Formats: sequence, C-alpha cells, structure tokens
Amino acid sequence: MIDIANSCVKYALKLGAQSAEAFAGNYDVLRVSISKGEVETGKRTIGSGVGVRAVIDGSIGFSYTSDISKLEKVVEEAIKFAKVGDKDPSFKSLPHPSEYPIVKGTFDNKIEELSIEDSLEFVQTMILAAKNVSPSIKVPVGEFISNKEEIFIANSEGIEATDKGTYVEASLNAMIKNSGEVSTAIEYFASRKFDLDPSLVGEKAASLALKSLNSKKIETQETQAILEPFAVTELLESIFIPALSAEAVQQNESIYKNKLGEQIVSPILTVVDDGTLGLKTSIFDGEGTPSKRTLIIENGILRSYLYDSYTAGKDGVESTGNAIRSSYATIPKIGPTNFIIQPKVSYEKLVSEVRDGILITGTIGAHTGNPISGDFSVETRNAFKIEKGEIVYPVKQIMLVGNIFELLKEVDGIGDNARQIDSVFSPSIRISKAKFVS
Amino acid sequence: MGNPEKIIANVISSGAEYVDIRIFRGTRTSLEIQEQKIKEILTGFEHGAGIRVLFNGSWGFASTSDLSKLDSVAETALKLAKSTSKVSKRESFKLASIRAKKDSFVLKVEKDPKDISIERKKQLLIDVDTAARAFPEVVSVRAKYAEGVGTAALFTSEGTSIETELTKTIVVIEAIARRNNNLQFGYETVGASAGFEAVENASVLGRIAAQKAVELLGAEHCPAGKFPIIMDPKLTGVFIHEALGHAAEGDNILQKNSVLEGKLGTKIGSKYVTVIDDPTIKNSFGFYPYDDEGVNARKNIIVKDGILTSYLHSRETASKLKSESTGNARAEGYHAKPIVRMSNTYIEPGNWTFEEMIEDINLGVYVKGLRGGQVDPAKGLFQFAAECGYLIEKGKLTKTLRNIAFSGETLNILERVDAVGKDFQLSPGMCGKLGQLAATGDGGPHVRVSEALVGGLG
Repeated sequence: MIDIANSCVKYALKLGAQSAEAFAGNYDVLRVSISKGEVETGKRTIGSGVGVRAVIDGSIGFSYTSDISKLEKVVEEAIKFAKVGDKDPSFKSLPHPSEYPIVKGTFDNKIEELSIEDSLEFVQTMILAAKNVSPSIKVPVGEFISNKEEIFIANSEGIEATDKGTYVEASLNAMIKNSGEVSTAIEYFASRKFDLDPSLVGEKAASLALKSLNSKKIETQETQAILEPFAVTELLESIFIPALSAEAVQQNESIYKNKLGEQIVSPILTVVDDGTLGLKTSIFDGEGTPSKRTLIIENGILRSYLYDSYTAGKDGVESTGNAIRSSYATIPKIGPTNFIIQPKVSYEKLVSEVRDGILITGTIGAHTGNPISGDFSVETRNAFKIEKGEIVYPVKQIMLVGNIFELLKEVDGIGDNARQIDSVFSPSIRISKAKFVS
Repeated sequence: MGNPEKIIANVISSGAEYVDIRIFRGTRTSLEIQEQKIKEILTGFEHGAGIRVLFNGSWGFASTSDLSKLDSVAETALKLAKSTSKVSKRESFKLASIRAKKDSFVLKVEKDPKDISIERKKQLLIDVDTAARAFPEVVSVRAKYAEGVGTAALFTSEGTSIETELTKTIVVIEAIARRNNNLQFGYETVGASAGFEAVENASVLGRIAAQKAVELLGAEHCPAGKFPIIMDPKLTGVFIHEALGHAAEGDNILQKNSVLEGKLGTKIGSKYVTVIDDPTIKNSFGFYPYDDEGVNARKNIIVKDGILTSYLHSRETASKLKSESTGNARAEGYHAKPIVRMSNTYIEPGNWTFEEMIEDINLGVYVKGLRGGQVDPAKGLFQFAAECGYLIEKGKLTKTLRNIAFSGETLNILERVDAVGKDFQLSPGMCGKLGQLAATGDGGPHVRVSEALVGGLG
C-alpha cells in the first residue's frame, strides 16, 4: 500500500501539484451484537482505499476511492479540484519528515488472531454477568467489536510512514422494570489490547440499572453537581473541545480567541492532549506529523490550541499533531487525541464533601449543544441525589442546562477515578453550581 | 467479480436458508465554502459488496471494498451465521414473504449534477454567501453543496434482482452573527432526491439563515417551565421522527426498547394526530422505490386519528411480529446490514391556521427548528434543543427566544396535541441509528400542544 501511496504522490506532482499527499488504509472489523439478551449477529467488514490531497497555490483538492483500479482518476480529480479552489497564501506546507515517537501497546497479536468463536464467547460472558446481578435484568442491546487496521502515508515533502493498530470495544445496555418503572444503564469499555473483562461490562451496566430503580422526582434547582467520566466526555467532546481548535479560533468561531495565557477555566483544571498515551495513540497524526504531548490548560490557564499543519503554519507555530483522520475517505480535521484531565483528590473525598447535590452518570443530547456560544441543555442519564456526602437516591428525568465555558469555571473538585471514554481521559469532576430543570 | 447468482447458489447448497448480495457503485462530490473561498472540495468513488446469510435464526454479514473477493466474503458471512447460530438460543424464523421481483429503476433528474461544472456549483455557494452577508452583523458564512449518485444492485436467493440508481443533492447553510461576545447561528438546508434543479435557488436560504442568526443576537433566554407551545413544521417533523417514529420501528419493539410495545390498536395520542411514513413522495430526500430487501416502497400509516395502526418493519421484524414487511429495511451502504429505518415521516395536516392556533394562548412559546435531539424510545422520553422561538403573550408573538430546550414524554405530548395546522413542509434530514446514517424527510404542519416542558437558561 505504501507503494500505491507513493505512486499517487508522484503522479500528482507530474500533473502539476506543488505538493501532494496520499493516505491509504486497510481495516478489518468484526462485530458481534446482542439483541434481546441473545447473540444476534456476527458482522465482518473488510475494506481498503486511498485518499489523495493535491495542493496548488495553497488550494487543496481531495479525492478518494475504495476502487484501486481508479487511482489515476482519483489523482486527476484532486488536481482538478485544487485548480477550482482559491489560492491561499496562508498555506505554508504539508508536514516535513521528522522523528517519530516510540509508542507502546497499540497492537495486540491476540486481537489480530481473535476468532469468531472467541468474540461470541466474550459476548455471552457479558450477558451472563449482567443477568447474574439480578434475574430481572434484561439486555436489549450490546456489542463487542474488534478492529485491526494499517495506515500508510506518503507526501511530497518526503514523509513515508506506516502504522498499525488493534482496538476492541465492548458495550452493553441493561434494563430492568419494576412496577411500571423502567430503568436503563449503559456500560462501555475499550482497549488497544485484548485485556477487557467481559464480566465487568455486564456487571457494571446491570448494577447501575438496578441502583437507578425507585427514582424520585426532584424540583428545578441550582446545586452542586458531580459529572462522572461519561458525562465529562460527552459535554467536552461536543461543546468544549471544538472551541480549542485553532481552526475555530482563526475563523472567529471560538470564545478562546486571543485568550492564550489567560485564565479560562477553574484553576484546578490541568489538561494535556497526548497522542502517545491512551486509546487514541498513534505514531503520527492524519497528516504524518509525529504524535506528541501538548499542554493545553495549565491550572486553568490556556496554554495552547489544537493545531494541524495548516493552522500551525498560519499562526507560525508547530503542529500539535491533532489532524485527525477517521479513514482514507475523509480529509483530516482538527480534534483531540487523548485529552487528559489531571486527577486531584480521591473520588470518596469528592463525593463526601457535597452537602447537597446531584451526581450524573451521563447525558443524552450533548451534541445539541452549541460549541460557539457554549450553551447546552441535556437530559441526564442515571442521576443520583447526594446529601451530606452520601449518594442517597436515584433521581427521575431531569435536565442539566448551562453554558460549558461558564460551567468549567465552576469546577471545584476533580477525583482520581480517571478512565478514558472515547478521546477524553477524565476522573469525575465536581461543579460548585449547576442548573437542573425538572 | 464473481457471479452473484452462482455465489448465492453455493451458499444455499451449504445449508443457508436465505442469502442476499448487495453491490454498490457510486460517486459523491462535495464542496464547502467559507468567507467566499473554497474550504473543502472533494470527490469519492466507492464500490463494494455486502453479503447477508441467514442460518437457523442467525444472521451472518460480511462486506468488502474489493469486488474480486465476493466468494471469500460469502464464505465469511456463512461462517458467521453458522457460528452465531450455534451459541444463540434464538429461534429460527422465516422472513416475511414477498414476491420475488426483477426490475431496474433510474431516478430521472432534470439537471444531472455531472453535467453541471464544478465552477457553477462553487458560484451557487458564493451567491448563498453574498445573500447572507447582506446583514452587517454576519461574521461568518458556511455553505456546503453535496451530491451523490449511486447504483445499488440487489440479488437474493429467492430470485429477486433489482438495480436502483438514485441521485441526491443538498445544500446546507450556516450563518454566524456576532454582537460583542454574543455569537449566534442560523441554519438552513434544502435537499432532494433530484438533480441540481433542487438546489439551484439556494441563495434565498442564505438570506433566511442570516436573518435568523441576527435575530437571535437580540433574543432572550427562554423561560423554564410548563407552557402551551406551538411547534413549527421543522420541529414537528423532528419530534415525530425522533420521539414517535423510532419507537414504532419493529426492531425497537422486538427489543422491548419502545414505549409503543403492545399498544397497536390503542389510543396513543389525541384525535388530531395522524402520522405517516412514506418513501414514495416524489423527489423527497427520504425517497426510494424499493427498500434494501427488495420490498416495494409504500405509504404507511403509523397513527390514524390518535390510534396506533402500524409499526415499521423489515422482513425479519415483520415475521417475528406476525405482520408484513412495510418496506422499511435500509442500509447505509454496502458495508452495513439493512435495519428498520424511516423514510419521510410526518404529521398529516389538519385545518387550523396559525392565527387561530395562537389567538387563545395567554402565555406560551412558539418553538422553531431544531439544533439536535435525542430520545429514549424505551421510556418514551425525548429531549430537543430548538433553533429559536418566540414568546407568545396574549395571543401575540412578542420576544424572540434562544436556548430553548424542549423535553418530555412522547405520549404525553401526543395526548396534548389540541390543534394541527393546515400548512405543510418536509425538510431533509440525516438520521443516525446503530452507527448508520439514512437520508430522511421529516415534516408536518404547525402543531399546538396544550402543555409542554420547556427549559432554558433564564
């Protein structure tokens, strides 16, 4: 595949591109899903393809294909589109070759060798563990996914690199009904190695569903809140992290424009984006820039935006390696790698200090939040009332409303129970004042 | 490429009960401008095949982007089905029967996108941008044009062989207005199963999007509490799609993941509520002639005068719920297995004018558009963020409102629908379910709800 990538770059240069890049990928994904408490279906998706970016006077044309017989056509279309596009003097260069970090634990032979039978057994163990929590637990849906992929990148500046990785993900929805009340809960674990405990996935989902039964209605209130890692990920990924993108900043779409070096959130928040440590680890980003560790927020002070090579060139800084590419068919976009919130105090202390508050496990609808204004209004999942430092009872349907930029100024505690959900690696965080609408 | 019929015959001879192969070839092109300049321009050529095998009650599915590997992919699908059936206690079932069909369908378009130059498409977006910038407070405009042309061939072990070629075009506009630290955005979209003719007048929408963003700059936070509300056609569409439509999907019913389970033939809403799902609406965004199992598309009545009359089905869910397929099995692409999906879902118009609906509201909220929404179909709960709205005071629209959250229990809301407008609008949407996107239309008229929970920051 690297030869294919190289030949695309060469052909693009021959056709008049000033610089060019080809990104190729192979993937093989096996999914086993649960429906109504039973293994429902096995599904395997194998694919490969190439995406080409051609640059002429800063104008970038992109074309991709899953049909290897169309490689020349793809390059020609990319060139044609680069010509239609507008000159952009802000474009400096595609990334140049530089030393790549050594990353560990991103490929596991056990995942590569995982059989259909292994996956089926994993799923059955999850279901059994959920039902062991209580005989009334139902498992409407769940899934186990194993994925292996190889990526290849070549560009006209001399980058020629490959990376490969494995990934597994297990999720399960548990449901329990009791005298008309329906309680549900989701658990989800992911890893780059085959080290997930299927029983834990089932047990945790089922226990949370069970604990959420007999919920009480509470009134609209402004109170202290604890956001568990799921809720943190959902809110940050949808509304906060987009505002840290250098692209949003350069386009006047971020509240954090001209705020480098200023206090933007609570002084107890320190955040790094580290492409070499966590679920989203890789050797290089979607443009071939080495993955790295970037201090984003230090004790509440904004230290860096997330950059790709284009926005970095425009600001005269180095790319932070945050060009994220979900497949050969997409143009790289700025996003987090492993967005890590530094832990502070014990989780027990975090909860025990709350005199009166609400704990929320997750949210529904964070994607409806507005990353420009920061306003959001989300339904909560598995919320609990906290009184005098104790979690006392589950809470019925309640909404959390507010503004993420303001909310993060109100962070008054961070736990030590960090776990990674998608890109965000975070402990539970506590907010001194959050608004709940009943 | 191997011969699909031969491959199907081989898999059947290995004991499978049913096999289908879907082969897709398509191109898509999209163009996005920002600040009057091209931000992103791309085209893609996709092809691939997906093979589905049913064995003793269990499905196996495998797909590839390499059409020379159909044989080995068929083997993988068979193996997946057999291994799964060994461990699963699921009972075997027969797919709801349909008549095998041989057909080929090509959607006729007036202006084939491939005959329109890329420069013309760029100019369309620049016109959109210019129209939006008529408002000085508009600081940023994004406009995106996308087209997709695809040919899908379906072969089944029952002898069906259908080839369908569809063309879709869409323009999406986002205008951002700024006043001091206050940023607001307005959003408009136009799209259809049609050629360039469907979007060529999009510049009008640039102005509308911009106007919305500017209006929101002066908007006040929405009061929180319970009020009578009026939903505009866009919100009506999304509400009925998200809150009711998903709950009516046969797979959700089977998974006991629906508040509508066991409610067929019962009253689930006021007598003013009639809900339709119809993929046959000409040129609609959710249009298709056959679903991805080769079932003829048809108009389905989900709710008639408040009574739940039908679920939406694939052949599997129909069989398990002792019904017939409603032609709602759709797959995102060759790499995805068909699941129960909506097409164009709407509330049927009634006979009220907007003025009649609003005049006896003392204090209420007119809620418009949608920024996003989510629903828990098992509990029948939904939560939406509206695009904008107005306060209704003594029968008149007074203040402009923003940050309107609208949430509640679906059936409760349907029960409280007490007036349905005579107007109608269907909007294009992309619906996500189980990781698959589907083009849909959502719509209806203005609809009044006597009491609903509205949230805000105020």
